[in-house]
Amino acid sequence: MSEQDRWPELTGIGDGLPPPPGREIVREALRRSALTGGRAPSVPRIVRAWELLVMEARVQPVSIWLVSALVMAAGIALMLARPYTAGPVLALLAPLVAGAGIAAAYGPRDDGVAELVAVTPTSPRVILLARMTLVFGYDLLLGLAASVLPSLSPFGPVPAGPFALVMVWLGPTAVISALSLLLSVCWRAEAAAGGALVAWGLYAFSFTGSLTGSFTGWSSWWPRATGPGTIGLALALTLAAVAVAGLGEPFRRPRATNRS
Amino acid sequence: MLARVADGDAEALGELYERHAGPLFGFLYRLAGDRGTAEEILQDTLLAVWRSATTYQGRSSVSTWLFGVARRQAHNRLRGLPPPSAAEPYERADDVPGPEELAVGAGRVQDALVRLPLAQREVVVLAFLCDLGHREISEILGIPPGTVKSRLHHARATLRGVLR
Repeated sequence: MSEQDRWPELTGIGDGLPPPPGREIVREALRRSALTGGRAPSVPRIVRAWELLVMEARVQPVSIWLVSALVMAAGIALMLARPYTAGPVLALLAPLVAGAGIAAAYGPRDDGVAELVAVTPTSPRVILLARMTLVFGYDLLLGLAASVLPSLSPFGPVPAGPFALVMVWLGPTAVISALSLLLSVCWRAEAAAGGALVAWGLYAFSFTGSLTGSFTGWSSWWPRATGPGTIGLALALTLAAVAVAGLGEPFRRPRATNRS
Repeated sequence: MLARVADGDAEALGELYERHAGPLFGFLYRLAGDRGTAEEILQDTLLAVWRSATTYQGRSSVSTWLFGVARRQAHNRLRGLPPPSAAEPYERADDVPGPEELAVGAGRVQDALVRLPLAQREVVVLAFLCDLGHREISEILGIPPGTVKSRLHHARATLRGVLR
């Protein structure tokens, strides 16, 4: 005797059941999924991150890559011809290229995909980090290449090894890039480029000061080399930019809603 | 098939649905008490399966996992609903019921089921409609088998009261 046989109260529980809905209910569920943010992709996070980077790379202006490469190529040419200039050239060029690149990557008024990005489920912070990773990573690669190539110069020895050269530009590049990013997020690309240029100018003056004996005030506090101070400052600025990126409407864009 | 769903294969979701539609819908229909609500919960279930198929780790059968998902969605929908209107005891022909009198029709069973608390109703439906054992029910509901038995016991007492 089955359990149901011992429960006469439930006799007929399986009778009169309506047939289940047809397969259209699956389509409706999939449509809801698409409209409400889609499903979590089953691919590993690292693959998702890579896919996001690839997609972001596609929507970045070609000029970012081209101009950065050309400027750095000019610097490399100079360093190959005059290897003893490798340190100052890299210390000045790398922050400039990275700062300008970051400003252009996040915040131009004519960002054609901004509206599209705004309605995707991917958060603005993730987009920001992806773009910064792309542009800063690209500039890092250029800087690394430029730090290695001078040692191949036939015109003489380089005053420092590749690692020492990297230490010359990495910290300032990170600080100026992060400052540019913050200004770009808070304000607009033009302001970020201007701010980065001003910061770079002060930085360049600090070199002048150390060379001429003046402006020692600048050089005493300005983060001229890679160290805990410069990296910490860059991280703080970047975190601030990431935090601001997820807050409301950017200052740089016309407001989508009327103020009450 | 669930692995294909986890990989984003919409066709596999359709196949999975066709394979389990009958038992799932029957379970939800008896749980919800009406077709419209059951269909809504079924759609919620498919959406949840589509989004969380990657979390299936093969510790239980696919069917058990699906019932678990459906049961959670049913709780989400039904939890906030007001209790059924005051139960009017079913009248019986005489004071000493025989098996025929107790053998109520499907509609009467449904009316009685909706008067059970949700926790008891789901146990009863899984046991008597879906024909699942206590161990499977305990996996689906995430409760010990002993609790399944006690809920069945209380459910029967409630049903007798309702059908008196």
